[in-house]
Amino acid sequence: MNEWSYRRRLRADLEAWVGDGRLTADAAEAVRAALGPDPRRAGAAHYAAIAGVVLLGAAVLVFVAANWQAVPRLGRLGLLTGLIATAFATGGWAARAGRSHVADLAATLGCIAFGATIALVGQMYHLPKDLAGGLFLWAMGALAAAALTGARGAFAVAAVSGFVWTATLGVGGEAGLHLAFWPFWAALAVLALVWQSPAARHLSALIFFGWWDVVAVHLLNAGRDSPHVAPIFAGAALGLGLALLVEGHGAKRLRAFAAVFADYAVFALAFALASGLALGFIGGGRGVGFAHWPAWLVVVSMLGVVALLVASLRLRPWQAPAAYAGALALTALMLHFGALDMVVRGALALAAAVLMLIAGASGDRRPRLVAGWLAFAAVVAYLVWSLGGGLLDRALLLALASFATMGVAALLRKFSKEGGAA
Amino acid sequence: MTALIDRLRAAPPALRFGLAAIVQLAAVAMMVMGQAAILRNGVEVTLATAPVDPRDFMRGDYVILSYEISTLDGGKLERVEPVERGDIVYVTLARGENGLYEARALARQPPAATPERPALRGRVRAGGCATLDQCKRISVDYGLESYFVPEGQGRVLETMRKERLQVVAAVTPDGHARIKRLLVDGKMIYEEPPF
Repeated sequence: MNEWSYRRRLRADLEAWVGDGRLTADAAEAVRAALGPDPRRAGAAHYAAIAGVVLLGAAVLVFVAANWQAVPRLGRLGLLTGLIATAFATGGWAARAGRSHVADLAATLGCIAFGATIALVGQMYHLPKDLAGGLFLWAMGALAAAALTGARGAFAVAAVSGFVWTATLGVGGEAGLHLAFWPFWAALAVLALVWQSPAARHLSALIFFGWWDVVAVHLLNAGRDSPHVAPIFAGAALGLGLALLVEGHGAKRLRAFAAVFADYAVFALAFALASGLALGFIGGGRGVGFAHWPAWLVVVSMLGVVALLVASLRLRPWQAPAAYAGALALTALMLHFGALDMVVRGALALAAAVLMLIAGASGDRRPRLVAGWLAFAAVVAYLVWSLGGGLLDRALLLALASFATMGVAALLRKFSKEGGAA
Repeated sequence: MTALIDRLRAAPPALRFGLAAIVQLAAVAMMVMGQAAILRNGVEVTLATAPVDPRDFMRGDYVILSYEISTLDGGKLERVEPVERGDIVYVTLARGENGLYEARALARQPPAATPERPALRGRVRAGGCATLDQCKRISVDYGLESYFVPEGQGRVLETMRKERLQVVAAVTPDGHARIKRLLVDGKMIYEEPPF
């Protein structure tokens, strides 16, 4: 539950409890006082203003691309550098006046104008088509601005341009793993940690898994036998394992970061599960087994499972990491033995999806439950539409799967009752 | 790192936002000064070229220029060294009978360039060769392959016969080059000032 939802719920409960006579008005007031003032929250006007700044930035980028000759190029360069200077000057003034939202918007506009200026210089001197080089410079400039000003918008510009930078190199097949992206991402992650900003945490996690996907596309384009799903699975395994370990043990701000990271890792696992099923169906399972994976991907996947097992031994409650370790192991088996039997693949995938559901339900992170349901939906779709054999066979298999799942539900209910009684 | 960021956050807003602007403007200034220096100080060479017309999503319409020196035949050069795809190479030029500059030598190390025989720095795009007798068709990019034009004007250049179009490039002693003028039938149609 996020901070705002929690406060709203608590206020409503306090009011109800005072009304019921369960709590005195003084006690309720003491709880409210302990909660402290509400944190500043961006309202609808701020979001509309963000949209306005993004549109203005897009207008500036398209203006540069038009290469309009009515304004001499030196004039255009002056306009854009003037826009950068004005934007940051406005941001500085607004920050001093305590108008942090305006300061954030101004820094964002300055960073977009910086990208447009890089494009203009490339256009002025007919620099060869080096999109990645320009994006790298843009990302670095925006990152510096984000670190200096604390602007979330500058952080977003840095994250997006940095991701397109690595994607351009990765998809083009020039960079391979593009390890140069790591220090950049680490800098973003440190900012997200220090700021304790939910938006920065989400962006950091998103572009990390985006990078993983770029690696996957690169491996696919490189003509290796490794299937697209292998690096996604390995990234999900390691990301989830490490994130859950940190979520249980790290400092408070690190735990918050790890929790968001783990959410995306669970989505990545759901995607890997669904992709593995689809690839196995399309390709008859060829080229999906571990023998076709680069050794480092196998090692990364195993490290992820080990991290989850360690987390399940050390964490309380232990159910979620243990269930995710099981889901990972079953998904790995499904990928490895998929070519042998489509029914076996379906059964393994179903068991993995049910474990993901159980893991998602045993914590308080709703996105993980949603990811579990998505994985489950993908498996059911596979069982209904893609599995070979006659419709009667499929109906029988689905009914058996249903009984097995309900059996698991009954067992879980029994254990949770016993746990509650103890 | 965390302490550094916390200290940055504690600095006055004017200092923080001012520094951000200075970092970005300095990056732009360094780009502009570096490119302008090539145009101001480089030796001029005129090259035969042929265009095609795509669009860059951030920089607008441009023509891709392909030069006669973009594809080298080692057998026709005075000197050539084995090269691989991705290698940085130096192509020595000399003025031909028609006044256009032609490739004379291909080396992996910078040669002793003179104003009469400047050397262009490039990167092997395709067709590397392990032995000299394999060096028959080596494709080299020089950073002169894009020419940005106002919206809609790329097609005019694209449809032009390739013999009519020439490029005057400025080349620095270390081999970096930028397009300085675009000529059609020997007459200037675009000129690039340093700023």
